[in-house]
Amino acid sequence: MDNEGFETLVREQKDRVFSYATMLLRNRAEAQDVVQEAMVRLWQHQDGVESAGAPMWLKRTTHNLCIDRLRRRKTRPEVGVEELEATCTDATPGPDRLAASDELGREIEQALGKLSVQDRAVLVLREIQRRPYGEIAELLELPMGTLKARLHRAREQLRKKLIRAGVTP
Amino acid sequence: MSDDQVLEFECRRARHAVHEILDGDTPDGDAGRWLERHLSRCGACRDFDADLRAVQTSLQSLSASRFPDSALDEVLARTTRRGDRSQAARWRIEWRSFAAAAVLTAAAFGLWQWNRPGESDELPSTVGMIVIDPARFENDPDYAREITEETRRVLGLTSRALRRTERAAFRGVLVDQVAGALKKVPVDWPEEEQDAETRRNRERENEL
Repeated sequence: MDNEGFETLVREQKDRVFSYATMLLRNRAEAQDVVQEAMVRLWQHQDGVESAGAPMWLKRTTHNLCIDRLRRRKTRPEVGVEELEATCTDATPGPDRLAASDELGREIEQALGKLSVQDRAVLVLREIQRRPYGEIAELLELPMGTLKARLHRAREQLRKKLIRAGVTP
Repeated sequence: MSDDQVLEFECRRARHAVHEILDGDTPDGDAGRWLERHLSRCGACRDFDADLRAVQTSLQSLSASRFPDSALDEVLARTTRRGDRSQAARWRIEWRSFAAAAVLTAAAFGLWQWNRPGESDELPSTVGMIVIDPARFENDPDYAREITEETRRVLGLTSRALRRTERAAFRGVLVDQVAGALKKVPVDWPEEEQDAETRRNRERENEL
């Protein structure tokens, strides 16, 4: 992959991987760090990464870095929950974000944050980013049956949390 | 199987079918009709179906967060644009090196002129001054190449001049002056040793 190929790839994927990391970490600053690190790592490993596989490499690295951060957060909690909740939502929503800026959207974002990381990852990839099942299975290294079972469970968990929060979906 | 157990089994089947529809799998004719019938008489599954559809629609309406341009610029500065910056930095270092080389050249050449021996040689009597325009050196590759060639030529001449200067200085200072001074120092050596020393001095001179 040459300079041009790398730039094209990161420009194409930047918002998608950033949204994913933001949803997983629930913290924009941390998500930005993670995505930057994943991009730099891709650049450093460009000789060993096929152009066709580079988007998946970037997504998987972003995912793994997010999981590392979450693990570290568990052992060394440096960011408070309030801060996480506050930083999850985009501070400057664009026109395409207005639909999510209503109350239900906020409630759903908060409920998403209360799910397990595995459930959150599946919901973000499938329901928000609408990625194909094959891609999600490859990224999360899950068999298709397990992936679908996890997705079904995640939907039901989210519904339960919304009902518990007094929100009618 | 009791009625409750039947209902529980049917509800489980219906909810699985609801998930499959949300997954994008449309049930075939019979399965679709069965689900419709079940939903029409089971309020809990009807709510379940409505809730999950609403949740999916709401999730899909959450848009992507935008990765800040400044963050992307930082990445590019650390990756693809790093090479460009290194190149510029390298040019800056190089012109400084050339400037330093030019000063050294002038100094060394002056030394050679000062110590220039009388014998004829192919070295020019002057080298000239290399004036480097730093901005042009960084931005004009042809100019940079020209300066590089010229500096190499001058450095070659200077190197030869330095070797000659060294020989001339050695001969002028050590042989002529020191040996001349030594001759004036009265040393009471045995005649054989004086002869041997004189021989060795002559041999050294011849070697030079």
